[in-house]
Amino acid sequence: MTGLLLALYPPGWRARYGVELAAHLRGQRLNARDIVDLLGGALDAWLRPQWPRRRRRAWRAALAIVLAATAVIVVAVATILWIRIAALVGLLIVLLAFLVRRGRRRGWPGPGAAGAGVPARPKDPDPEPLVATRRR
Amino acid sequence: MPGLSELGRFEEPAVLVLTSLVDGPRHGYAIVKDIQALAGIRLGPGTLYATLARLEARGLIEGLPAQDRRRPYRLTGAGAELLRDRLERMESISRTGLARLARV
Repeated sequence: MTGLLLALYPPGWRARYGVELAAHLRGQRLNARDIVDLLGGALDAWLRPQWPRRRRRAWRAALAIVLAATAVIVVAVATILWIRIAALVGLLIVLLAFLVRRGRRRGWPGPGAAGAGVPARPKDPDPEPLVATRRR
Repeated sequence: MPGLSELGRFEEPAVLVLTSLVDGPRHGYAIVKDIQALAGIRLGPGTLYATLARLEARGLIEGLPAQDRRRPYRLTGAGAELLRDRLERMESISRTGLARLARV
């Protein structure tokens, strides 16, 4: 009867407490209340396993390692993507600058000309001659 | 430090087990006998070992090397501190309750 009740506990729990619980039960006459209590204990051990602190620490350490590795991968991928995006934006800027320069050479007013926010400079009514004439 | 209240229905057995271990290391059967003499409560074997597992997992007690297949348990410093805090609160509640009852 004792062996049957102990077999209901999870293997990990039995490995830790099975021998001493068997020794505890040895020589005792189990009544119905004890049997119900052991059944409840087995159910509890399956539903809410209690891990020794060392194992919990190891489990937490493993989780921390997995999370850290995930973070490194995410940062690396984000960095690679960012570098690619930055390179693409840089290329677009260079291309735009080239097109603007080429457009100006062909007479395209480009940004800053009349109609684009900056008024055109009025024509000088009496421009000075480039070569001064000496009066005698 | 987590309190004993997180143990749910094992809270009261945990207080009894910790109190039993204040005198020194005891194995399961000796704990049951001591609690029976102390509080008139007989802990079932399933409840006892579920409580021991919880207390050990939280570092409030620690198992010593087994003697004749029986493992004694010892109260840790954290367990003693938690028990003292708990018993002081119980004492305060008890004192207040008894004082109020005296006025009835």
